[in-house]
Amino acid sequence: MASNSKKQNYSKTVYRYFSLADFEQEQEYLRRQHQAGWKLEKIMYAGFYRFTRTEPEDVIYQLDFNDDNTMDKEDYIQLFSDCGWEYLWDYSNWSYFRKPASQADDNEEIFSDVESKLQMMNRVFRSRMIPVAVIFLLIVLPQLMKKYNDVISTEIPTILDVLLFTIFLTASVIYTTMFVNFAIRYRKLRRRNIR
Amino acid sequence: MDDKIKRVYIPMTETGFYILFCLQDEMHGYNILQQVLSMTGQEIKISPGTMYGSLSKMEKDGLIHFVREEDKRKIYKISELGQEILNIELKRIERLYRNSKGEKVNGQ
Repeated sequence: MASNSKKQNYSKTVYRYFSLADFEQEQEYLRRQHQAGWKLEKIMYAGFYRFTRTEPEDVIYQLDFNDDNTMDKEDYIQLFSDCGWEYLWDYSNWSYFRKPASQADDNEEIFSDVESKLQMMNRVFRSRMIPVAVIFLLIVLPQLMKKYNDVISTEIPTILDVLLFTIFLTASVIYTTMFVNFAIRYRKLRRRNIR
Repeated sequence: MDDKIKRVYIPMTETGFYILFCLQDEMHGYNILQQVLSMTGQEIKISPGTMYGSLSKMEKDGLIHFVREEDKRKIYKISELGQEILNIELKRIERLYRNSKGEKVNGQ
């Protein structure tokens, strides 16, 4: 029993959802986990984080987004490692880095000015948000309106229609939240730039 | 010169200026970072994400060109176009500096 619980405590897999605009929240989350003695080991699938037990330590986690498949990854990783950042892996175009806070400057990040951070968000927008917008406008929204008409045009709508309507409505809310979220983050960052 | 390039790069960001200025000599990203740190009395520390993004963008826009690779580090140098842009920026900064000291700048 004791050895069993010890084994269970050695590693854990946690599901945690972060939207495209939430990379800063993800960084903070991973840092808090490491502070609590859980070191990021691997990302299993989107949103599934595998941690292993470690000595609690303040470690800064950072994410970069690269959609250019022709880029020279070796040179890129070398530059980060010269600056003391341990490269972990790429997961769906996101590169993960970490560095112990004891070796970093106060609030050190992989971007030292707002322009380059905005450029990263532009890359995310171009390669992720635009496809999402196309799916939303061409599939989700028309289906939502169609189901809405089906539901209100019949006196007693079928359970299936109501169910589909609910699904498309939920999807619309999620999509819209994602866009609004992204827009707010972007604006906030730009404001910081102007000031 | 391409007006669009001019619009994008002038005035330059502090990071952009230092990178282009340093690349008048052949250097790789980490060299530039150290050079800037030492010439600004540790005040300007360019982070690797910012450095990498700036170098790729400048290369794409033709301001700098790839020279060779050394120990997995790409070495760059300023191009003719980059030097042209840098000279315009240097002039602008000099005007700012002289004006800030209360001097008047005569037009050519």
